[in-house]
Amino acid sequence: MSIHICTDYSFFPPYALMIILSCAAGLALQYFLNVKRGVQPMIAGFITLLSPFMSFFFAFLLTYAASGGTKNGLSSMGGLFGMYLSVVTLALIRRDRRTTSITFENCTIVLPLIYSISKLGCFFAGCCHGIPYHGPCCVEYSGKVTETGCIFPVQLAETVVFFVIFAVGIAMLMKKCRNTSVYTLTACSAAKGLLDFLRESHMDKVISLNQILCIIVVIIGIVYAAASERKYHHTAEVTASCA
Amino acid sequence: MIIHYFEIRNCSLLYYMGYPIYLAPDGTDEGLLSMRGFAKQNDGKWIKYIDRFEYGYIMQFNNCEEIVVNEETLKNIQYPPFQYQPPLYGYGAAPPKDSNTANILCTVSVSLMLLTLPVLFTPLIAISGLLFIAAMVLMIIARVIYPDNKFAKILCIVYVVLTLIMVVIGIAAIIMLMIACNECVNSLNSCS
Repeated sequence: MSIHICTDYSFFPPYALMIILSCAAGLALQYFLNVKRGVQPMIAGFITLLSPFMSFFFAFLLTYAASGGTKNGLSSMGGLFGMYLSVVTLALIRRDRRTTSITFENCTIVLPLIYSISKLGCFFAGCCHGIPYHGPCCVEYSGKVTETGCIFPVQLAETVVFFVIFAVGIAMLMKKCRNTSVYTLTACSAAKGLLDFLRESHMDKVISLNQILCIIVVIIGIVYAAASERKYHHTAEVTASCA
Repeated sequence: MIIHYFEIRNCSLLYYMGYPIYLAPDGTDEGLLSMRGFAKQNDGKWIKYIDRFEYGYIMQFNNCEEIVVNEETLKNIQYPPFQYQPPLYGYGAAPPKDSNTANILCTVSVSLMLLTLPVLFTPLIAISGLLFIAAMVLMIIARVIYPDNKFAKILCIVYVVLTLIMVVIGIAAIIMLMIACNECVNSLNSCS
């Protein structure tokens, strides 16, 4: 069974639609989670105001800088950096540990949702496509993108995987699990790094810049989670001895 | 009323400048207090502002002599029953009055925002993005630290309205551009 996608759209460009939808969904959910978890509406509103500008700015800047000023486009790692920078900015202004940790956590939880929806845009537009593949669910493009042949639906795989990570993250947040954001970010980085192997742009490389960044994030995530668990058990012991 | 806040036992509930606080008993381990977000005051007392979740929980049991606040008890609170907001301006500090600093911040913010437009039409487009973000950040600093400043309030409303207009125009422009490119490619295909 193969999937046929025509990249000739008659009116509305699907890529732009999905990018706009992903941003709107992510920012709305981030604001809702922040307010529901006790962050002041004004602070939550300022994060929502600042993060799209910072995300787009750094997403463009990273692509432009990485290509030596020859390419324009959006980089997901740059967008991620911009999102976190907006939260850091508000944390530095607000200087409240509880608000900072909540906003960081909520920002991390919504990232896989934004990525998941935006990858649907790539899937319909035919960009960021996968390696040649003739198995079940292979994708064949027609219209403007015809040179690919049968390929692996890596964008669709990314959409599914990241949506699952988002759903698990929300479920962990509801159950008030410890280190939800760290586990979510580590899972996202691991998934992104592994799925990069299935991209056509990766075929002539051993390891890409994205994968190096992902490995660094995964290592930091694992070390932080281990240290945090250790600290939690130490605190529990102190509590028991006090009681 | 005595509150056992996590492992810090025998805290008192007090009101400081209208906001509820925990007051830790003297002699409590300072490392433990710092870890739980308590701050040392000039008089050597350790206090912590009570957030609205915890305050809502404590108020449910305000007839009890002893209340335990820990991870287990806070787990059951799904939403804050009280619309109490903790202060914006940090531990033990009075709310800053309408200050000249806020006006300076807002003036610099407006100047940076106005500079964005001429730079936009030069090859240094990235600089205009930085100027725009800097202008926004300065407005946010003024609005958060000096909540009563009128200039900051008006500037905030103006920026939010401008942002909404800009986002709508930006989205429309991107879509129009993509449609135009699509039409162009389609017409080239039909020529060949």
